[in-house]
Amino acid sequence: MTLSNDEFQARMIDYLYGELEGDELRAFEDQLSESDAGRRELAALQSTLRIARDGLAQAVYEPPPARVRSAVLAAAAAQPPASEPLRTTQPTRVDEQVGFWHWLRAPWLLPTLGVAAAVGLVVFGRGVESPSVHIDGHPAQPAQAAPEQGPVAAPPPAAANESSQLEEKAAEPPVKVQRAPDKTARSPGMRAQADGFAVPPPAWNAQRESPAHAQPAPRSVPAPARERYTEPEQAAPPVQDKAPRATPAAPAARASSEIDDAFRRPANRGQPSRAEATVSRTLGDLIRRAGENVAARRWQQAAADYRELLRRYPSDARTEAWKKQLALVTQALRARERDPR
Amino acid sequence: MAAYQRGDVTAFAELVARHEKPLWIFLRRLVRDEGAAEDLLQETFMRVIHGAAAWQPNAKFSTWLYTIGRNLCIDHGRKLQHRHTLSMDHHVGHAGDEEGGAARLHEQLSGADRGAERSALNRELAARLDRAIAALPVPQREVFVMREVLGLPFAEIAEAVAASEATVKSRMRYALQRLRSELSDTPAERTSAEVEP
Repeated sequence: MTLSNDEFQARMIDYLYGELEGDELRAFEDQLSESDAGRRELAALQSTLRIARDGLAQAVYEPPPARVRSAVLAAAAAQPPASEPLRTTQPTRVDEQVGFWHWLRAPWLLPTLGVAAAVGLVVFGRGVESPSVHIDGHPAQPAQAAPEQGPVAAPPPAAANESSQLEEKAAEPPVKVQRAPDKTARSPGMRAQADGFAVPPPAWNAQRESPAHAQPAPRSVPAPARERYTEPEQAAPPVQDKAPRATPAAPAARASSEIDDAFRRPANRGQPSRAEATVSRTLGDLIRRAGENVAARRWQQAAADYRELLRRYPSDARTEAWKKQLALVTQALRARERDPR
Repeated sequence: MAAYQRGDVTAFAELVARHEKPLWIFLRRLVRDEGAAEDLLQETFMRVIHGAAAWQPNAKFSTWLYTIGRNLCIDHGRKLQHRHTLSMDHHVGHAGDEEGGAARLHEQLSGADRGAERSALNRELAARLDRAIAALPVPQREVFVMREVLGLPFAEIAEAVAASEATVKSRMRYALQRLRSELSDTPAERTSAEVEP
């Protein structure tokens, strides 16, 4: 069995890694014994491989950043594959929907402002000309009713729709507004999650590719402890060993954080309290909200959501998953209380 | 993975713990930028989360994971190419002798078998090797890293990079040839001369 030059070259690596057997091995070795160039080539490859392995054995690999793991686990807890799809469409940011610029772009704004200005001018003009028109008991002019009600009280149908949508948005439990002050989320992806994106990858991509985030903030990554990586496929110890130890948090710390949270909520654009908002939620809303809170690292609210789910739907098939997620969220919450950074 | 498909989040945590470091090393070797590698690491696992429901146990999880990571690296490289800030395929060839340089370096490494000198030489070798690996073209680099750093078999590498096994072995051979060329530069010779007068 004679090998062509191409076959001989192709089997060089097989031979180098000991993957030739039987007839192929014999044929290769026969041909190798007759080819000086082949022997030189093989010796060179063997030598390079030895050097490479020696060099790789000296290589030091830093461990991956811990924040990546926490973000990934939070996302996994937020969207377990067995649960119902949380969100299939591109998530929208609440602050974009109710923000000043969105309000400014509303189609009803200019006509409304125009009407209001006209009415204001009329009222002002009448007030200057005859300030006693109302006091004297004269019949009211048709135009006088408008300024009392105001232009917003009776918007056109489209405007009413917009207004009601805005009110509904504002009445929703906070997604963007009640952002947890997480200082550990420094990578763009984590920042994206902290900014209120419920479904990480598409939102994360969108966040990364948006011009506002094209230039990531300078990283302040502390120099991690260097450790050698010896076995590529070596299984790491179970995550419980690496995860923050679940020691009970100091009661004072926990109480203060809850108080802070309670103070934050009523000040949040006059939204309903958590209890009020939760009562009106359906199962799907609760699951979605819990997922969003986990993705945004609002551990306390996520924990409340999962507790609510377990309390209201104790016989649901997903209670085990909720319990596990609650445990993870509680663990993260305690870790944050121990180390707020 | 099957457990995670059933909703067991702790199973996914174990998967992450087991694979994050090899994947991190793979990504670091491929993109050579820690920040980008961190983003890619996170996005790789995010893709796993979102594709978990559709995952079927007819392939190894690690193969699937590295395939995702590799594809993200390719996307990242394309974006960089558009920006003209970095050429992932940058290669500086050397017209050095054939196998002599690499062989001499290894002999010198073995010869300097004593304490601090050897340690210094090893560190230098590791640094030179890092640079040499970084200078490999991406197709060769990914094959080399998967095989020599992660210890994946050629069949699995072929599946991950969507190429035939013969192609993968051919890339490995070219990678070794290029490494030999890169390592044939001999700053270590000077070190060795100082160590062994």
